[in-house]
Amino acid sequence: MNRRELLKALGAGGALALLNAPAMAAAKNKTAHIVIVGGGIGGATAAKYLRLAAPGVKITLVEPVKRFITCLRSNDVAVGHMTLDDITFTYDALRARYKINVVHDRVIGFDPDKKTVQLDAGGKLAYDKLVVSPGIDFIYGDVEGYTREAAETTLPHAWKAGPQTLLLKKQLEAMPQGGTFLMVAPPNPFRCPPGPYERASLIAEWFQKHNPRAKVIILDHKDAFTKDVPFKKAWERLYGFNTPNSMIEWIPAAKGGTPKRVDAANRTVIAAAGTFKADVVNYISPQRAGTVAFRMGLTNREGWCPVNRRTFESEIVRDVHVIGDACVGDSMPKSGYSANSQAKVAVQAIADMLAGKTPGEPSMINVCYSLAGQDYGVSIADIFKVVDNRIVKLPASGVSPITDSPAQPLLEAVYQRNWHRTFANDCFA
Amino acid sequence: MKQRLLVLSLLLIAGSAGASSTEKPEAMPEWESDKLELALAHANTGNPVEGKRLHHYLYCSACHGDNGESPSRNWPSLTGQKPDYVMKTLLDYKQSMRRDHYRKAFVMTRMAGLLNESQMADLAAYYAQQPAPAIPPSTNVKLAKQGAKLANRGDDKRGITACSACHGEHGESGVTPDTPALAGQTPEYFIQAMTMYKQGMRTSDVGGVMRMYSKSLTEAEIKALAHYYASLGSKAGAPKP
Repeated sequence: MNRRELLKALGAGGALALLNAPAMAAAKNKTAHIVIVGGGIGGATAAKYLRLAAPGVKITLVEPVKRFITCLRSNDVAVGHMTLDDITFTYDALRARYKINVVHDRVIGFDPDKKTVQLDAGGKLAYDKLVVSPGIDFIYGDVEGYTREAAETTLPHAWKAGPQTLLLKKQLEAMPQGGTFLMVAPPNPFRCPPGPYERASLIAEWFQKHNPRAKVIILDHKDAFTKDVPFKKAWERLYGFNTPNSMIEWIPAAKGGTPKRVDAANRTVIAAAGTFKADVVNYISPQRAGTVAFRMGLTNREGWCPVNRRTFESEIVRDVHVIGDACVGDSMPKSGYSANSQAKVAVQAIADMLAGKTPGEPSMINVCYSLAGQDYGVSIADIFKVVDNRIVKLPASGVSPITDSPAQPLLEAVYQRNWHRTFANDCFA
Repeated sequence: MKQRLLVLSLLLIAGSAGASSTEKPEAMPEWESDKLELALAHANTGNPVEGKRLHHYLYCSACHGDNGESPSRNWPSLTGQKPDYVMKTLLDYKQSMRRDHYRKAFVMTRMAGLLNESQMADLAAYYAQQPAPAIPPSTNVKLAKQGAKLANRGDDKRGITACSACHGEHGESGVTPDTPALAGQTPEYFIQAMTMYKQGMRTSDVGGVMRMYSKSLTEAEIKALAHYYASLGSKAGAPKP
């Protein structure tokens, strides 16, 4: 019995007295079909945890690729400490262990009134609840001279793991001795806030071994970044930061770091701070919600998806929940961990709604380890709650302290590896 | 000055490339007893005051407890352990001879890499000074009774020597550096260690002695022995901070 049939039965009158609330909930649960669009960290976690929260429902995950490459640890791939295979995951466990119907296809149409999504290969999926985890896409042309073509050929962003990561790796390896690596760090908000600074660190470390006179220059749209205190301390300890021989130079917006123009053919970026010609330019593009969210009409004027912060239900379309990097998360960073945390909250809310219960008060976390060197970790741990439909960070949150104990950053680097293994399993296994 | 040296050694380590994440089963190096004897020549000369400082400064306390008595079934208690066994273990790790939890021991291998031999001896001296661990809460008295007989008499028919012959009548450890104190260790940790010996995953026992004995034991016997040695913990354990 689907919802409409149930309503018909109710309308017919006689059955009304026999149908108490739990029975209705059970009837709904049995037939509920939840479709999840996007099988990244958020979508995969949502599929698995929805099965745990609502064992009886039918779950379909729509994701174009058969083997998903996570952005997590892709900086390690760029400098050869890991391979793409190490960060590639399949949907086998979701199928076998959690009975998720995984469809490798693309959503090309959406009817919010009839509650269907149209697949590229043909056919429609009718849903009771839809979860959309679209990730990010890039804004090209924010400055003159920066185009999609430039990004795909000469100025890789390497901000989605895969061919772009390998392109960056190849360019690094081909750099002349004593050359310059220039990174443009994106404006807020963007996926993986510590990612650019971890990448700059790991490339400086790689240069120490393979290209000791080479330099890393970061042109930044911003004046501060996440974990900047422990990162800068690590740069001092490892790469001579704040000395004349520093391997890393960071030029914040206040010192003219914001890019104004790009000359892709000459690998040159023009900013108020000067004209920077480099051997490798890693232009990390400004970002917006993934394209599928735009096609489905889930985005606001800023290009992100506004949601009810307790349930992650879209504020634009009913019965559609948007999670992960694409949603408006307030003080919650656009990280894989946030997506994982939001997925759990969203599917519990869905399970509650299907059971006729009011969703509870969410508590969310974000934990993130970055490497400032292969043996030097920095971390952040945040706890969030919702106040007046805004996600706020609780005072218990914090970043790695600066200590003089060599064990502290070393342990964080070890924890990072263990965290990555455990976290990937939480999403995909 | 010492701290400065530690930071420097960290910088040197940080300069070398990290290992790949793809873990391949590899043959572990093994001790030869004469080399072990030489390596442990200064094991009993540590400074416990410096050891106590290192225990906190290097975050050993994060897993092994404020005083070295572990609050967790995952990690062993170090209190009451004899110095040469602690030093041997740290050398095992430093030389990548150990696995933990059935996989490569990332944490301790890296941590031991930070230590020179004098610091290992200091830590060892500190742990040796602490009273043996208290009886762990998960200890099962009935199982402990079952384990007592095997531990103290062995089994002639299967060629199993009494455990107490090497590990002491009360699990307080024996004469050679590779026979640790077992009294008060959590049953969970004991079972893990024995299972890894049985599976040949732990190769730090000199001459393969523990691999040999563990092979003859059933899972139930290992479990009973684990609870027996746990039950030999001290009444009070380490002083609470």
